[in-house]
Amino acid sequence: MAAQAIPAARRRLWRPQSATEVVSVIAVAAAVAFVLQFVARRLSSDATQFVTIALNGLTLGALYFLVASGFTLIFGLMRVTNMAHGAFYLLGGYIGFEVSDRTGNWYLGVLAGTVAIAALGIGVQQLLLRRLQGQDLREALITIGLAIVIADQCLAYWGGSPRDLIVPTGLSGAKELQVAEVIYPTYRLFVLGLATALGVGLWVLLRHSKLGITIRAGVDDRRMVAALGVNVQIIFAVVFALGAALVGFSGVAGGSYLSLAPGEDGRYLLFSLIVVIVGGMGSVTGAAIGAALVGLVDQFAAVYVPTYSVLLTFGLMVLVLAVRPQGLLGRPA
Amino acid sequence: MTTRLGNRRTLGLVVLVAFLIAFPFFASSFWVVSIGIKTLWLGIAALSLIFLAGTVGMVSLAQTAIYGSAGYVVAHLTVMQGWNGWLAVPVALAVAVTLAIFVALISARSSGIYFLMLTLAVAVFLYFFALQYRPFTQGFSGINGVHAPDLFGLSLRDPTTFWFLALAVALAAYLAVRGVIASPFGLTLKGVRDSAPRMAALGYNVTAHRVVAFAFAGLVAACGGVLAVWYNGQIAPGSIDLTRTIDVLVIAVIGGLYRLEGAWVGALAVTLLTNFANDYTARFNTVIGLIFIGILLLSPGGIAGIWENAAGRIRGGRSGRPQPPVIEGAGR
Repeated sequence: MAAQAIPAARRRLWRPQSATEVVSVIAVAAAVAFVLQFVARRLSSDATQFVTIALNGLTLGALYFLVASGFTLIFGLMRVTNMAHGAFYLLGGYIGFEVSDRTGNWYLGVLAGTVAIAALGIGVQQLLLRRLQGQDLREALITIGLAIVIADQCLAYWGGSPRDLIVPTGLSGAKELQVAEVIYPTYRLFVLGLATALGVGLWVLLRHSKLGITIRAGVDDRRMVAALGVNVQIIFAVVFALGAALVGFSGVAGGSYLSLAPGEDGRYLLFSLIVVIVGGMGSVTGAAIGAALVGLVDQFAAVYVPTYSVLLTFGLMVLVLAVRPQGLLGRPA
Repeated sequence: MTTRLGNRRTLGLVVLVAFLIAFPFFASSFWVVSIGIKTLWLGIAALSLIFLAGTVGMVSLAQTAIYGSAGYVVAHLTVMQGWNGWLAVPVALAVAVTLAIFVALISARSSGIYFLMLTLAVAVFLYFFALQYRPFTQGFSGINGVHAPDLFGLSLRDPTTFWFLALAVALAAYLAVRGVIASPFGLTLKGVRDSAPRMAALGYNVTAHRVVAFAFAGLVAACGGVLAVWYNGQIAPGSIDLTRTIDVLVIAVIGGLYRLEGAWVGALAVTLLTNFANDYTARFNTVIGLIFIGILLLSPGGIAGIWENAAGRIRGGRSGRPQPPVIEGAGR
């Protein structure tokens, strides 16, 4: 594409286009100011509680990021909204539970959950979705049907009572932190570290590897990449497998500290949706920011305004949509 | 359309109406209550989705949440506040329509797959809200003991009376939706569905049209919601959870996303399946899910579409109707 001169108006920091934009920017500023004074007040009154809640929010956000990154990866490249994502999470967790329960080895469970869901993802993509390529609404509806079937089969096999994975001794217990005398579960910190590492890994993969470059090119213009001789079908399969592997893995990781039960699939589907809507669909970095925000809002609201905590998370989504309909890091459609 | 075909249609319609009126007098109460009335109100909920999907190209997953909100308002006002049942109805409808407008304001700027995601997020949110906000919804257990008020001195607990009320509401909803589609406004909506940018270029306010259409669909869904809460006698978060949300979608897809009558065909199919599949398998949802996937893969026109294709082939003419535009082209 030929280089275009940037219009002079673009260089200015902010040029409001409408009254709505002014109002929404004021609303955001007010929200930020409120959050800052809230943080300052709570930190001075009860630092231990505040840090604990913040950690809860971040570790929950880490899990949401693990789940949502797969969702956004698949959506970004293939425009496939995998509504069975929550069901994939639940099934991955259950498979991990079953394997680690039988073998007594948690790591084997993690491996089994990840690999099984990756294989399932490839199967779904090749058998169901490939023939409908480009009809994104129909694809989304089919994955909804798939979600019903998977959730029902999980209920048939594992029943209605909650299941928990047992974490190996090295990861169980709690650690005393140097900050504000907080004692915090080791496993949650482990998940936070893992999500950070995976996020960085994903970023490096997308930014610097050949596969990543092809994927990003595919996000921008699928047909052009195909025309350049890249076998897009293989890239699609790889990305779908990667996205499914991520959610299968998070199922096991999440099931090790938040129980697996029927209905959890809907919860994780919801939070995947919120995270990618807030962060911008198709953007992995956006998913990370969105997940952290959603996790923090969720946990703080649960403590300080329990009756309305859901509304607050919802409010976050509405606020972001009002200001940036394409999400924080999303590109305009 | 030829006169002969028109006559045949009229005849079919007369037979159908006669059957529907005679139905509660010859059918057993199981058929009237568990199959008949349930089909009617489920069909109304699905009708609102079919209208949105078929006419405006908005596949909404928030219809269950909207009809649930109407149900919740009726239950809250009559059981917890002691209101008269008929007084609660307009309030419930108003609340549901307000909610629909709010949802539309958030989501109407997006379309296709984004719209689907946003409305799904709204639906699941309302479920969690119903679970959390105990002062209004009584949390997990929900509001029990909702009774339908009397209608002209007749008790709505009598299946026959309730059948006729549900039938009247269903018919009114059907005619209203048909009327809207046939109106100039409906034509504009179809234009918005087929090409929003072109309609915008012609000077139409696309978002406003979407919002009004969504509010109207919300009103239709709310009517179904009021009937549903009277029918069930209670409402709980379980009545608006993800499964119920998907049920309405399944009904609409089975009935065919582009035919209004399909709403009740789909509702009847699902109601029959719910009642009778239980005799053969406990994994009822798996059966429904597989049927749903099968229909999406094979016949986007739903059951009605299959029938029409077959009928078209037998007549030797073109094979049925053209494919619905809803699922094929939307979101691109």
